[in-house]
Amino acid sequence: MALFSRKPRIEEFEAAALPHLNDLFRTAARLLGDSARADDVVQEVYLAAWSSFHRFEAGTNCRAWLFRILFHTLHHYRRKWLNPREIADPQEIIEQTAANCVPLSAEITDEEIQAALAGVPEDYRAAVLLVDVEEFSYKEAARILDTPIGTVMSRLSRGRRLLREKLAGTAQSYGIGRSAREGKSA
Amino acid sequence: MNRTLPEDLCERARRNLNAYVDGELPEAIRDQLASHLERCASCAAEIQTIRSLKVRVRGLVRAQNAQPELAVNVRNRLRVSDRKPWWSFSALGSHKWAMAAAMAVVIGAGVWVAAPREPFPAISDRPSQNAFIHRISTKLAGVLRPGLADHVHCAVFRKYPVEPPSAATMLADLGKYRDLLPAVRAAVPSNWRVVMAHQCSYLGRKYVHVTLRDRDRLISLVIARKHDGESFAGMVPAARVNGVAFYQGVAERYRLAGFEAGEYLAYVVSDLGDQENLQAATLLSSDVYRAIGGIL
Repeated sequence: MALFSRKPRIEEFEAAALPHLNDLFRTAARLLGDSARADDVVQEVYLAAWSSFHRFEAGTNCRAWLFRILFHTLHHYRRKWLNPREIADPQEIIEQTAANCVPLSAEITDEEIQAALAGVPEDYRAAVLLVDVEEFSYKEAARILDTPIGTVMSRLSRGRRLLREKLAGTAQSYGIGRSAREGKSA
Repeated sequence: MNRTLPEDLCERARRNLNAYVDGELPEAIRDQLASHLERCASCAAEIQTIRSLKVRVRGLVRAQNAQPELAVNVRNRLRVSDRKPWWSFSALGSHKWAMAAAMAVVIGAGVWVAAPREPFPAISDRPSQNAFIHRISTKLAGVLRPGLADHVHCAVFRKYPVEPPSAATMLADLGKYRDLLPAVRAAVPSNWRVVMAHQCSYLGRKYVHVTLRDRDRLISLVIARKHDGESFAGMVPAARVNGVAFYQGVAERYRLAGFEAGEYLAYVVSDLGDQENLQAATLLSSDVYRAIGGIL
């Protein structure tokens, strides 16, 4: 049974880290677009976190630390498993489409928002997920993503704009967005 | 007199709207912007749009939760994370839990094979499939054949899916054997992924089957209830681990190892070496036993 015996501090690790499992999973799932892959990545995150738990400073933000590991793990996972075309950053598309703020139609459904979010390039989606969903500060998000704060702000802004662009396109396809905007501008 | 045009004010304000919504602006700038928003319906509407989308995105993304088994898998893997890869153990006799496994239970069969190196019959071509399995089974003891047959039929001929079924699907397909999934995942190194897990049948016999993949290698875990008189007892054990006898067989490139307990048979088959295959069988069987012991 020795093979399955616990390390002295594993209970401490689990108590600190496991409450954030859902947060990590849904972020991974949204970024990978696949729950099974997210399962794998989250397991890797916890293994990596446990192996470096001795370096974790008690009292600091465990959740942010886990998210930092998550993005590190995602980076390696993508390089290992995903086609480069799946992770290319369509910067040109962003520049072309994010020029204008577009009102959000009240008729937009959750499914349409989810589909639009899935279509936002991953770097920008990550910023939206960290700030809007997980409610990390810009400073925390920058540390998690290992980027300057200005980059987080830029990606967040572009991510939100692109999301709205996509939703406006959806609404227009149903004839919703146009009438809503026309109504507002009248 | 303020010479700033309203358009300039709005343009300046809009650069800060996201940070305003996120509570990230310095106090002075925030107060200026708040003052502007009281007078500018356009910017106020933009703030409202940003906020409402933020709230909706948060709500719908947070509505997604992991399957309960993910926490189980994480816990299991944490507990075995210090273990060496299962095929690297040099001494079979060091695993006391294997004895407990065999005392109460019979564990499923596993298959660990290389990717096909020759064209196989299509899964729908049963006659060719049966002929292939029969041909490679001829030198194999009869009691080992069910494990080989189900693996070849199910994992090799069918081939593993490009995108594995979801965990929920596999758990549902496993039915009362659902605890196998987290147990197997916990037992194997992280480079092995479960690509199939279900209850199946071949040539009228029922199996519980879990297949893992690492690049071009496959391993299947198959549980089969004994038929009348079936036993490894007529074979010479390849090893005894804490009193449990493990038996081996070779079918072309497939290595099989198995043991029995109660009403079930267990096999592990791979294209690794004989000893590695045997070690894999003993290590995997203990984890499987832990998951299904209550059922068997």
